Amino acid sequence: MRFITLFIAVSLWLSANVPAQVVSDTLKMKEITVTSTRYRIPVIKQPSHTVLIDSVQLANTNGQSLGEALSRYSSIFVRSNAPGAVSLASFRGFGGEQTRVLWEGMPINHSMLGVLDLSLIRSGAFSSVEVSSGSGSSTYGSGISGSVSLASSINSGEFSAGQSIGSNSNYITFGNIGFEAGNWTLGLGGSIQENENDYRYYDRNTEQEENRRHATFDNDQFQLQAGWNKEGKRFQSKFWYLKSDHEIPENVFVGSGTSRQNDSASRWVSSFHFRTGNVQHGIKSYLAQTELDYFDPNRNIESISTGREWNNEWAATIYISSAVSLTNITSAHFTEVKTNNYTEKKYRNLLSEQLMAEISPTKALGIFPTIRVDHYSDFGAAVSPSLGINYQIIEDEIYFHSLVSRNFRAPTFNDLYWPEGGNEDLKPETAILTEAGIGITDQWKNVGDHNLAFFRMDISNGIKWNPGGGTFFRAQNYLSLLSYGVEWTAFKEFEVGTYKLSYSQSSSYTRSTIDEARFDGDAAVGDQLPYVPKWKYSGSFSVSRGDLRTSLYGNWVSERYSTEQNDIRDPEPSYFVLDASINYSKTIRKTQFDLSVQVNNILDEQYEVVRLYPQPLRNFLITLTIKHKNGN
Amino acid sequence: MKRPLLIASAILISLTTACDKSDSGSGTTLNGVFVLNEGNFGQANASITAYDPVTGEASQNQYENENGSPIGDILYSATEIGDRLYLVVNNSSKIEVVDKETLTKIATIRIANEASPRELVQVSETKAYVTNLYGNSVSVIDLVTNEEASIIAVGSNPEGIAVVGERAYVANSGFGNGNTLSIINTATDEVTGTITVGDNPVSILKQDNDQLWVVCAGAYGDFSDPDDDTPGMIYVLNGTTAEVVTSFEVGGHPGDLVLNDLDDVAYLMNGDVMSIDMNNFEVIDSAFIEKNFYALGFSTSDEGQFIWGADAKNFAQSGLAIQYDLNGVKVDSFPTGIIPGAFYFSAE
Repeated sequence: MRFITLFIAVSLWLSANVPAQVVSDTLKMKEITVTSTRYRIPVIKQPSHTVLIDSVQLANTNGQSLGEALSRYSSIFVRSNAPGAVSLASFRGFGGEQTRVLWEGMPINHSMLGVLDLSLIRSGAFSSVEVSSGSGSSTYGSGISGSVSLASSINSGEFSAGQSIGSNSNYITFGNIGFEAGNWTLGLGGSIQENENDYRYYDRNTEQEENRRHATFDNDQFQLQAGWNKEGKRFQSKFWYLKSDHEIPENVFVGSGTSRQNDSASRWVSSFHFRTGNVQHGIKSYLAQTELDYFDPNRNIESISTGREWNNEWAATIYISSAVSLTNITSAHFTEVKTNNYTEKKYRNLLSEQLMAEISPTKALGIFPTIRVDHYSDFGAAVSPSLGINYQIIEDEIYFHSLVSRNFRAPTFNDLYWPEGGNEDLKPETAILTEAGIGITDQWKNVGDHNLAFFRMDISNGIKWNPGGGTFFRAQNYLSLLSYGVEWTAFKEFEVGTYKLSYSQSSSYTRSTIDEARFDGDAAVGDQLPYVPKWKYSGSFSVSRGDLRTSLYGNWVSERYSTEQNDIRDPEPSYFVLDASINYSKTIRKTQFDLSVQVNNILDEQYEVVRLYPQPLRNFLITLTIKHKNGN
Repeated sequence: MKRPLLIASAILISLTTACDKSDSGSGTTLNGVFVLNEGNFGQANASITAYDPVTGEASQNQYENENGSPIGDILYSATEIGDRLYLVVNNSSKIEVVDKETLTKIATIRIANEASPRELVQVSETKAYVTNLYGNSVSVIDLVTNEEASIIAVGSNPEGIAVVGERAYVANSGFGNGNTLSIINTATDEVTGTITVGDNPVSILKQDNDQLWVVCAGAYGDFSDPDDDTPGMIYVLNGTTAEVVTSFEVGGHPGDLVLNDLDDVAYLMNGDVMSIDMNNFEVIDSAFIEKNFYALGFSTSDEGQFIWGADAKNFAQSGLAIQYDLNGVKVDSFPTGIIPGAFYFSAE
């Protein structure tokens, strides 16, 4: 406990007491443009709280899943059942179903399940990840508690290849190659991971250290990209293939389990941007096929499904004046699911119309009204209005931002059509979000970049599977939830002599409760929702000098409840996990050699994110990467 | 926290005899009620609630309090053999052997291949059978070594089991698609035959006269189509001759069945709790207690006979156990753990 306190105290002290020279390229929040809110403006000018995880940070979690990167660098709580097992993002007190995951601006949540398993995605496969807490359904449709937006970009004129070897027989081979020819760029990247995953852990069942069984995880993915750029016209086409075969470990009281899951996904997005007069056009088309085969020979269960999606979008932005732009987005999204669980193929046709404006009546003020109408073939229409503002209190230094929005989440195919309890009469979940906060750049007293956001979200018609007096559980609109809290992110880079230092931190307080009794004697009203920690803190601290860089990463999560009625069981203990890495980089002519040694959970913390799913004790990963750049 | 623990200790110390229907009656006092709470599937939050009928107080998590660790995943049933209780922990594929007075853990019997044990019955002084839902088998348990000694293949997805003489009857539910009982010769541990009963046989209760009552819950067919379901049935068998005495339709998809002390009225969970005339084999009142329960129990002692219903509420928070007299009038109630699924009564 003393170590946690020390770690957090040092990080916070650094945010306010840095007697050092400011490094010239530190204005991260001010300069970097993000797109996950659809407003292509810097983070600091956004109306809602947005965090960018860049390629350097993603490379630091190269051998791990996207879930680990989100845990480390954002306020998201990742509900991970353990390495290789299902891992879902939890934003502002809500679950994976309410969190939208985007790839190149296209939603990729599984159409049957409504979630995206973060454990299937290797963090190093992306060039950046944007985490937008306040992004609701007015931006990309169905979604009420934020979005995670993945971007892929392979550098042209560069070749890189690497190998990671880690504890528990974890092997990852990866590489990228990019070409540039005239107006064209081509890129190919991919990785192959084989992970025995038989890690050490402390078993609360046997009360001794054990090795995890039945948790092998094989994951292959590659991306192919092509781009063309000429005279303001830009074409891009990206293809991403992912295949994952893994065993599914059970909780320690169930045993080793016998279930397996094989996933594959082929996703292809193409876009063309051009300008006519004062109108900027963007046309985008997305095709996807996802396969999921879950089988448990012991229980004689096999669930096979194929999902197909075709999503088309046309966006036109007209610049009425230097102070006003209007964007109209029209989209048509077709989804088909075929599974042995349903009696027949199921379809969903979604037509959407979105109108958004960016109004700057003064240099200091940005106003961002949006309205989106989604019409679903299976349950009707949903309207999502939002209004955001951003006001510079002190020019380039302190900003106020605020957003009010009404959001919805569409029922998943399983909610609607699962034979034992699916409910075709479901309505979408709806949520009213209000948030307000302050952004501070490093230009204000060299304190670093900070963003503080207070939020409140009221969900009604929440969908939950409920026994409802029958033999089977049934999906019903019967939850009324309230969530409120605060998020704070900070980043600072500075120099002390010949040393470059940086720190980042992300912390949050979240109170999420069931707001109204669902039945007589409902004992869960007012209790914290399961697996929503009230407090979360993630911080990193790096020191580099010359070719050497060392980093420490700390992640503290407060107690969580495993049941909706909090007093029925003791809470799950809080945990603090400390990771460290050392990177050595050497360039010989045009070839750069990077050697990284990563030690995770160096304090050997015995912890579980989800009750009785133990996480690994101390483990390591060594990565060697070779990069070669063409040209000067 | 200390007060419930003291109450629980008092209850536990006073427990001496299980009060199942066959050995209860006058001259006994109901000392305690254990509610076996299944807990949520995959979350290993099963628990035991101890209820003191004298003080009317209940205390939770008795097994965990006594042994310092959770029971496991889905506590399904408990069987008393001698001074021990055999707690069948379904999704952990194990049987915890505990002292029936203190719940102190004595041994753990592991069931191989995660066969998913459901119900245990004593066969002899040294042997017990336990049905395995996914194993499509019955495990032979050596009560001396506390080990699984062998496996007997039976029909699909066996659940209930009862023993009469040298015959063990096993209900092959087939998850709704079965309609047979397997008969095992308990001397040779071999299946000697099958009896066809109604769809989805799930439980078997034995009367004092060795007559067996088999609850057939009815088939679900296509889950999305309630019209193709088959109705619930009760089959009555002569346990000595393995012959069907009679059968009658109760409709719906019935669950727990309990028999009263005189073997003249049975109570069946079937939407509401229905009462059944055991002599004329017909439903007396289809809504004897107008409430839907997840589990049903029946206790007999000098204080009277009582029907106990377990309300699992929304299956995600503490349930409620309700005690009724034989007029269907509520006597008392107390909170339980998550998904109360069975009762165990102790009387002396």
